[in-house]
Amino acid sequence: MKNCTSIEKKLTAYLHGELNERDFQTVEVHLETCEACRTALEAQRATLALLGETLEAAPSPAELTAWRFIPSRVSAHRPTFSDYWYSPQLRAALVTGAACSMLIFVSLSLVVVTVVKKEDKSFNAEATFNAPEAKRPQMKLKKLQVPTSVDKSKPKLRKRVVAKEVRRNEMEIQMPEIQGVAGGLGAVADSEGDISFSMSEINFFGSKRSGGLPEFNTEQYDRIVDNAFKDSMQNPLSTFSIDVDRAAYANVRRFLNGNQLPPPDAVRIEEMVNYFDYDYPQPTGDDPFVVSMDLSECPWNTEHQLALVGLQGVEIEMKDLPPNNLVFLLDVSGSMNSPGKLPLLKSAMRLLVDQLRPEDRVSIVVYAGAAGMVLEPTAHKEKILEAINRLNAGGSTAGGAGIELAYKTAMDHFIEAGNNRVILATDGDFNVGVSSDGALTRMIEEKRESGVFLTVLGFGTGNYKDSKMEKLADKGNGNYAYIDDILEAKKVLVTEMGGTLVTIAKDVKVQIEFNPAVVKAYRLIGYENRVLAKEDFADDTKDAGELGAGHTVTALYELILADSGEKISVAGDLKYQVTGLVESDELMTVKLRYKKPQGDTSKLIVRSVQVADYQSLKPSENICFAGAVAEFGLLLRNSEYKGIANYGEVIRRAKNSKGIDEEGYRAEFIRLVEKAELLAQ
Amino acid sequence: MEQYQSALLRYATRVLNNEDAAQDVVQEAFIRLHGNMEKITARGVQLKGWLFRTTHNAAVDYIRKESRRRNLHQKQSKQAEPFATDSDEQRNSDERHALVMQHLNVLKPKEREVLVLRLQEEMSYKEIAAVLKRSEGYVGTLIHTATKKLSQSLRQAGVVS
Repeated sequence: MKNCTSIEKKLTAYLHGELNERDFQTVEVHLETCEACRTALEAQRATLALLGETLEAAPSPAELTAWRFIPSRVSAHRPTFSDYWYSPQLRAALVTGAACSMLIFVSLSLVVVTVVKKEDKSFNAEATFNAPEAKRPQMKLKKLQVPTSVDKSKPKLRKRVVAKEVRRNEMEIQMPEIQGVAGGLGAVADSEGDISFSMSEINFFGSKRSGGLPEFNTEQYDRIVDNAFKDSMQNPLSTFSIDVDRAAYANVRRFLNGNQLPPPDAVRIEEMVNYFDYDYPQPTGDDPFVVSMDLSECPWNTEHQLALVGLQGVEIEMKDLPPNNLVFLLDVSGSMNSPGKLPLLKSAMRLLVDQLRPEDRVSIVVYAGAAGMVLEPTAHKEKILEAINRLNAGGSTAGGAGIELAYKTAMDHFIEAGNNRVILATDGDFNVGVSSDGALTRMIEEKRESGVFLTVLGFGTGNYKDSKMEKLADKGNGNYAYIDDILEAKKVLVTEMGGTLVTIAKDVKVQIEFNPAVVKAYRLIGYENRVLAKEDFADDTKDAGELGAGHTVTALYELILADSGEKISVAGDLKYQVTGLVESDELMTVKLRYKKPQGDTSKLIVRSVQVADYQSLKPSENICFAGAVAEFGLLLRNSEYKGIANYGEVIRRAKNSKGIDEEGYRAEFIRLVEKAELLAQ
Repeated sequence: MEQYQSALLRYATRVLNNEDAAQDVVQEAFIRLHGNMEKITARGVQLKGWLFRTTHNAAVDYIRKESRRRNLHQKQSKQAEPFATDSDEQRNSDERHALVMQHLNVLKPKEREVLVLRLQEEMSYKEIAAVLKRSEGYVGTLIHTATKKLSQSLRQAGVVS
């Protein structure tokens, strides 16, 4: 457009309604046809709106008044002075003055803050500060591009704050993370009430409560309601999406290791069962996975049966993996500044980078208050490691903007037939830009269409947003792991790298039809947030879980057989329909649908199961161990279906079915159950 | 009148970036027109110009009301729920405001001044010109470059997209 420049100059006045009739017309006509100018207009509008809002909410008009009146008065009365006005010194003084006035405002309104400069190598974040009625006086802008501008060699002066309460003796202090305190709860205070802390960790909350500092936890979990028994006459179909995540187990372990029982909603039983590998036969045919079945008595209710459906994904050798186009999307916000977070994240990423081959590409996007590109795609390992080493934490968390940039980077360097994946590492505490669960999942659902997969790695305690992370991975064609220590990082990123990084089948759905002649009622154990409507099974537009290379997925059903005398609640009989049975002694039919990683249409696999196949057999180690894990989950959730479940039995059966256990995960499980038993007393 | 409606709607939508709000605002403009019909016809005011000005004023009123309402809600929720730790939106907008304040420093004092006069004191370009003893054109250019500079700075920092 030839007159874009002249139009562009008029856009602000257009928004302000300050254009004359003719210019107004010209701008209107031009905007109809010119997208660039519409974009520019939108940018202006957004900025003006935000600035207007900011000025409206400004806590202290003092500094604004300074800007507003000094210059005009000076220039009005002493025109010769105006040259001085633009001198850097005066400007600097003015800006400093404004900053000071805000600082004073902050200090007076809340606490007396003494700033002591002190060398402290253990503390590595920019001092930031949050008070309820005050704005942050200083946001270090440079810090927003932290990772490239940090000089590691020099120990820096760190600020340490000693705050004394003045007026508000009812004040309460929350510290989201404290290393070494279980669940990140609590705060440290000495008897005088003087509190020392690193600034990035503090949060003030006015509180009516007096006395000791109560424990505070801002972790978020979605409520889980156990699946109920379904009558197989009226509901013969059970449909769910596979869930390969194992985050819940690592998270439960973190709680138990901190000598706490986990909150019931942190216990997703299917993720606990799936944490372990089971000895299923390897796939041999065309399909990328094979289905196994098993049946035994239900450990926590001897009247019931336990059915197992297991999927084994095909193993792929490292050298046969498709080329990787990985975008690390790393959270370097202030909340990540604790030993269990950013340093662990860096170590984890180094482990992964070590595994990569020359054909693999890595780029790094970080986000704090803003999102930024730290490393353009490269295969150069030293460069990648160097960029990881430079990362440093500080600032707020614009997770949404980071996700946008990461997906854009992945798509710009998309490798056809390769593994294109964003690896998001965060504590999930997004607080700038798009941050509500709803908006984030909508955004990620859009990105899903691009063919880029997602891996979510969760870090940290105390402020952990499990609900958000699980949703992101669920909606974004992804998987989700919780990294509680470096061994878990090794399991997820090295030992099971294929499963984490390479998707061999997507939108894998399971539908089981029970034969009412054999099964009276059934209950799916776990998978509560993966249950699908029966119509969704054959609907290829409905998203479901992804299966990684070498992954095993296990689902357990608790069954009440038809010959049982147990009463189950059923809906009243139908008046207009008669349900007839086909004669069959099959227990159930298992149907699976999956798509190829880049495909759009699903393939169907069907297998039927006879009771007789399993009656004579001794239950396998697989179903014994999976049953023990499920029972442990029922106990931790204090589920209404736990029956006679008890810790001692779980330990006994887990020991009997431990198998070879090369990596020691099953031994660790037994140790955790023992711990939980003691904590539960 | 209907001939202007879609043009007014388009304009209000551009100013507000919110179709529902734009409809309310245009409706408000027509209500004001109805109330002032006699005055307007008596003075021979050009209807179209009057409508656009009124729509603009109604839009500005809307924005102001909206941001007051939001600030009030924030204050109230702060008072009511000292324990509501995860009012993300609140922290969110507080941080954004703090960032905007910080970014104001990229502007020259004069540029900050005109923006404040316009947005906080709600002066017209003409009034600002009188305060600064400069021409209206100068004020327009200054406001425009200031907005552009701020917008660029905020965009680079990822505060606005």
